[in-house]
Amino acid sequence: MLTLGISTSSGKFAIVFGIEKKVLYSSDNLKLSENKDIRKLVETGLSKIGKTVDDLSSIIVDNGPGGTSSVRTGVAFANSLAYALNIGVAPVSSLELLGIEAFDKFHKPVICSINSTKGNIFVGLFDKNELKSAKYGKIETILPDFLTFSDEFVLIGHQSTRIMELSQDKTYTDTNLTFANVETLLTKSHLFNDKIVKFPKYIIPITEENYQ
Amino acid sequence: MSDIILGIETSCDDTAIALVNSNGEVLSSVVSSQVDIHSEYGGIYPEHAARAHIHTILPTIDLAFKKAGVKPQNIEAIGVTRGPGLISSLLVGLNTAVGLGMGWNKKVIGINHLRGHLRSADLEQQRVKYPATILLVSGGHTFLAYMKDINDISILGTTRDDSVGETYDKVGRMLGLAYPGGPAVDRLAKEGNPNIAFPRPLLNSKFEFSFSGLKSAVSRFLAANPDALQADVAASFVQAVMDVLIKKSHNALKNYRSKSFVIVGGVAASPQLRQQAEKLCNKMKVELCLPPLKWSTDNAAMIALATWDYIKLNIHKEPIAQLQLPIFEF
Ligand SMILES: Nc1ncnc2c1ncn2[C@@H]1O[C@H](COP(=O)(O)OP(=O)(O)OP(=O)(O)O)[C@@H](O)[C@H]1O
Ligand SMILES: [Mg+2]
Repeated sequence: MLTLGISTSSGKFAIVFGIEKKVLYSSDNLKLSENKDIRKLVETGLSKIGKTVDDLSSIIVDNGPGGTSSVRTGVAFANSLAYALNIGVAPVSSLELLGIEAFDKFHKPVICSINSTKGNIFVGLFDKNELKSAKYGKIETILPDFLTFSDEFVLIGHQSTRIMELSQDKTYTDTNLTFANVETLLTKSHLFNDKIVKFPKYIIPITEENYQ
Repeated sequence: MSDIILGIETSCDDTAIALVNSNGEVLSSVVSSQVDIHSEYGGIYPEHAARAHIHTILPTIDLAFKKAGVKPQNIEAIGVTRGPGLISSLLVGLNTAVGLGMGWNKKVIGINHLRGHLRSADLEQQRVKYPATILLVSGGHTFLAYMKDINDISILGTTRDDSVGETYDKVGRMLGLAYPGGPAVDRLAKEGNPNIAFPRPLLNSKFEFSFSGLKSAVSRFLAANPDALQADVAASFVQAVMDVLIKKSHNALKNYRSKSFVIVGGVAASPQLRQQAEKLCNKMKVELCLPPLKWSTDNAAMIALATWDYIKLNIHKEPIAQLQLPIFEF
């Protein structure tokens, strides 16, 4: 029942191996995360835990948004490895990962933000393990709508400081984090089980075109 | 050892997959073209190309295996284009290949796209006899090369600016033709007379090419003569290109003893070029080797056939993107 988690949306590549929700290996902890060779990361991980690729029973992949090219790299690899092994693959958006991580710590509504191009931002409102709303555009335009949801927010992502500046009448908890921990893919894997797909279905990266 | 290679080509705007055996026999070749996506913009927008690749690549691979009636377990290795090309597009093919190679426990070799074009002339049938003179005319490249054999290539001359294919595409756009411009310009040219005196850049240089002056001349002419017959402009442009390509090919064949003259790359699909090259080869008593039209433009069968060269010569190249890659490198 070995699961592989892959996250590349931050621009640095990270993987995690585990069984059920137990982490057996995490590349982040071993400071291998600067490595952009995903095959080497996976091979190193497998050899550390004494397993082979044939032991894999599922893959969970962060499908962005984030670094467009690096997300595509992780997703292309996850899709083809799942196809070759005839196993399932589940997508988790990077905003959802941020939301899960922040909510887990503070148990309050979370505003997650990831920078895109031309001053546009991917923004997500997350509460109780659920992405309530997802918007793309200028932070000033998106924020007012999100802020009606509560008086207190946890902030995670690129725009946290800007959000506090823009609306000073709310109470914020700043996580000081911009990207999620790859291990969340595994420790919270029960949240992603219903998203598992198998070929002819496969994962498409999240971009401004398909984000809502 | 199995006799089948899976070829993957995503260097530009086509997602191409093929299964080819060591004789160059093509068991299947599937090309998912993005022409519809890019014609809207009159050219290739790299981010769109990469997004399209990630949509099409797995279904295209699956289809190629089904068409060939081959099981993944029965392939020898995977050959995937590592460059030259668009980084965002290359990365989709490369990482897909790496995932497949890992899952199927097959070797993955990073292939030079230009080696693929070179070998396209031997698909389905062994055509090239060495030593050979090669004219590569594609969307991104234009050069003459001399090949003593597969392993020994020297560049005779290359373009100082635009490639032939690029020039065709730009002139096509000036004439308001659909993208890609090459075939459309050729078609229009057949209806016109080559009665406009466009320049033949660097005609007196032995092997070097230049096309930006010709492109500008067409642009200036169209601005000054808005009522000129478009077909005549196309015909005159094509004739100027042909004169240059044929003159330099002639120089090469005169100076380098060749059994074959090989034309590869997208512009090899040009009927005008095919016709005039045939005349040249008859005169020079050299055998003309042209890949069938479908192997002239980007495809994965040529990548798979080139992969066999790497295997036979025991050359391993990692499947890592290389944006610039000279022809003489494996
Ligand atoms: N009949 C034709 N006449 C002239 N040009 C043509 C014809 N058919 C295709 N072309 C041109 O061929 C080019 C595409 O060729 P090809 O697919 O080999 O290039 P590419 O793969 O984009 O470039 P490269 O291989 O150098 O990276 C285009 O510029 C197109 O206009
Ligand atoms: Mg090409």
